[in-house]
Amino acid sequence: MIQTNRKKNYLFFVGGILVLLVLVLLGVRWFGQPPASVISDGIMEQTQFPQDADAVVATVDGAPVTLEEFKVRLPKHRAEIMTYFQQTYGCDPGGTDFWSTPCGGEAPFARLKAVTLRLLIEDRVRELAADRAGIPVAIGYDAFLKEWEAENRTRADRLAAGQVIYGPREYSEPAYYRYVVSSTILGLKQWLLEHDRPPTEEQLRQAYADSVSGQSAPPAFEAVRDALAQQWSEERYESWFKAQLEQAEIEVNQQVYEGIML
Amino acid sequence: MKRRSKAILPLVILVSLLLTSLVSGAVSPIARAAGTTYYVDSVLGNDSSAGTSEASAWKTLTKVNTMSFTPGDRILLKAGSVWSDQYLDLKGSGAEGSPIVVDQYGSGSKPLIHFGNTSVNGEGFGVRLRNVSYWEINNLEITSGQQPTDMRRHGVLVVGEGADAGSFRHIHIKNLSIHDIFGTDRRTGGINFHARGTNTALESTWDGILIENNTIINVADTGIQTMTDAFSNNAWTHKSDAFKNVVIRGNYVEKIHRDGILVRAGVSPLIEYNTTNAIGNACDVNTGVVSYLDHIAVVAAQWAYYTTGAVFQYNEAFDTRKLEGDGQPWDFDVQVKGSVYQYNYSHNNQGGTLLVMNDTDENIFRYNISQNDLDANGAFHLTSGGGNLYIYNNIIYRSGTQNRALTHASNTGMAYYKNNIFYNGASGQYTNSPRMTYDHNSFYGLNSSVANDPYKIVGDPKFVSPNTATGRATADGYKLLPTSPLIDAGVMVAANGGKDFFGNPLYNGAPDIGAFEYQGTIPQPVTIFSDDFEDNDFSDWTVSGGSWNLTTDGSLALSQNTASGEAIAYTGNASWDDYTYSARIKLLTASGNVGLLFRYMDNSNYYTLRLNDSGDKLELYKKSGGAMTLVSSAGYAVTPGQWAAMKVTVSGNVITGYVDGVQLLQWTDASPLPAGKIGIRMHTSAARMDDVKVVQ
Repeated sequence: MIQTNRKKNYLFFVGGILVLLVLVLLGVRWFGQPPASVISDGIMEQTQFPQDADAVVATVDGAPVTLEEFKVRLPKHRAEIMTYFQQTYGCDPGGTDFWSTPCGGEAPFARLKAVTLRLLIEDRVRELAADRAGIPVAIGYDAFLKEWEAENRTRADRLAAGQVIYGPREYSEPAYYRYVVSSTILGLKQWLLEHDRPPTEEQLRQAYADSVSGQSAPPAFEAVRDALAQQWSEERYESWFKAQLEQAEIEVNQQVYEGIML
Repeated sequence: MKRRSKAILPLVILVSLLLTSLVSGAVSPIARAAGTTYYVDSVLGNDSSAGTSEASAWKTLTKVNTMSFTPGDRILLKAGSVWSDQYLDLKGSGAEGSPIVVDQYGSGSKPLIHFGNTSVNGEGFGVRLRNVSYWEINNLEITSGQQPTDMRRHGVLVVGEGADAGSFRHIHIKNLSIHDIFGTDRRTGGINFHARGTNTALESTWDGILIENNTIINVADTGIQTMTDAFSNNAWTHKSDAFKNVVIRGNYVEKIHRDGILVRAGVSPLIEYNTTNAIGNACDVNTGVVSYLDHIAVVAAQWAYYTTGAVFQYNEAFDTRKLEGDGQPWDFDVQVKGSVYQYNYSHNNQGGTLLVMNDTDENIFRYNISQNDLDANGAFHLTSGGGNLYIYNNIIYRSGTQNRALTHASNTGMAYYKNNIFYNGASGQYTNSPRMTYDHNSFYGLNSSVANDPYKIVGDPKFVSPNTATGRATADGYKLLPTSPLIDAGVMVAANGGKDFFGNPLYNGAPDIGAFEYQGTIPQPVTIFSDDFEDNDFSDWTVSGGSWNLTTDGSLALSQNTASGEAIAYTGNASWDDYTYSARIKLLTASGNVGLLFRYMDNSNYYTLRLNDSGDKLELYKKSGGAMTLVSSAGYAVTPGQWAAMKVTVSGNVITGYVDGVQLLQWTDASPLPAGKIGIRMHTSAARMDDVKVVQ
């Protein structure tokens, strides 16, 4: 459930006005188009963010999605949004005004923001669920960064000492993020398997019948049994996670969220 | 192509050489061409500009594609730039010491090439290096997004084909982020090298490939691969050596439709520090848009094909899927010879741990850790037609419900299992076959007695903290505790790679079993009693029943000569609790029995490990409160009149029995006799004893 925290909004609004006044006094252009030299680069340089370094874009069951985290994840989804607008509306994602100009009745930048927020909320819900399940996980971006840095330090130390590690000698932040997300999901799937009952033989055979329906030369049941069990686990996780999302208490700080603009 | 003024260029080269000589003290033997740096800015650039400065940057990749570059040139793409429906089709070649470099300039997100549904001759790519050498591609983001059109697509395609095919050198691909690219057959995917053509076409080869620190996510079909059409062209000669000096290092590969990292036709490729995750039918894709993905069967995570001398090390692989077969992290595939998997870590792979295909030979699998890989094909799957395979010092840890075979053999070559730990948490079986040998392996859990290993150890390996390798960089939980029975209990392996999974040198004393060579000092056993009877005195032994004397049998030995009733001789200290007791024993009576007594308290309370010629068995009895109970036994061919070296170790509540250096049984007593003396016992039998020793 997405709610707006009106009390917090009010405080942020007052705070924002004060920050605005200070910035105006300092001669910095806060609203409107940034200088041409700034807009020449990618989406990040076209985007303005509220100046509060500790700003929170949303909370999920009390756990914050920080503005800093939002800034990092935002450009990672740009290709997905480009594909969407190109395929849905025939827009030209290569145009210099692509992000700032609505196309097909939708604003690409607004969609980019929405997708980023949705995925960050999913991250937080997953982390909190993993924590409840007893799976070791960093909750929130600060904790994630600390874990990432510690991981790379450990790797470097071990290599320097002539010891063995496995996987990259240094994880990039995006790769480590994917590693952590994948490992957490894998842990949750195992946890679900241990706490639910695994699929029965009858369920697997029904899934097999459904999957081979209409095939002229279907593979034998035993040949695909493991794949069907895997699919069952995937679907179980997806439905369970959807329920977790629906049950989560989500508060979006509109002041901050709307303050992220071109 | 606009160039610097010809009048200035020699001056620039001269100054460069002078500076180089000043810095290094000598001119490099290979003069690096100065080259030209070109800039490309998707927002502020202009294709009519010179392209040779940030202020005069080109705008499009189409412009770049019109150029033929020369040694030392650099093409720099502005960070944060985005090119939609464009791609890089790079032309020209560098030279040794003067490669042509593609990289980013400025700070921010990597330059993004979104090549969408574009194609050249029916295939799409973000970057193509066709019939060129000496290129280095760095720091790009490449995607096509989900496209409805069915065609081959590649993040990076390095291809040799047509009239300009031939021998190519030095292609480096580093720090790319490649994602969401979907192609229609197995020659597509993230980073593809392909010697392409028909039987009558020119053949291509590469020497000097580096694929390093790339992230490849959500791609069909394969993450990283080398491929030659020599496999289908009889006239082509490079079926096993099309790719030389290949290094694939530090890549993260996830959500792949077919295989993760696949080296075909390689000579001594090095594949290290990579992680693969979610391999096989694992793309996150809207099938309403991308409806053409191949039906996938039999994938593996990181493997080789028609390759010699491959080294796979320090890699991690998890969540590889079994699709109608296979699904292993590691695979010596067809025609892979003289190759090694070492120091790798695998977990949660559906197909098991290692696949070995036909026409393989002299491959080594050592010092790897498999933590709860699943076992759709058993832990090791050696198909028909494989050659010799050496499997040593690995840890196969299973604490789940896996119950298929932990070991396997082919029907042709030999599989040699040495010094491995098989931790069998469920009911996995062990294979015995004339095509395999076991030597000094640890088998823990059910079915431990099944494997034909004359030097097996079946006790708890005593890991520090198994199943806790979640710290990503390490698997320290698989080190051995100082009390592990596996320390110094293995057999020497020559040319063993020189270090264990944790980087420790081999060996520290005698070899350990498992992937960890214990580094501490092991307390040496102390002999607390010994008697070889050469002093012609057995007055310190107490006898009960029988007729005893010392007799010469090679040397002086204690002999009991009456084959009737119970005869016992004992000695030592009633407070001895944990110890190893050994002696040479000779049974003199056919169908008789004789055994070691230990933790002997009195004639009604003791253990005895005895040879029984009746039934050819080694038997462990416990006598408690006067009641004698057979608690464990194992087959052993007893030969009256022949000496046998018997040994028993009693440690807490665990009793382990050996004959002639081979562990034959182990039993755990829920309420053990706490301590006692040692001795010899027989019933209705005559027997001799010599060289008695007790160590703690």
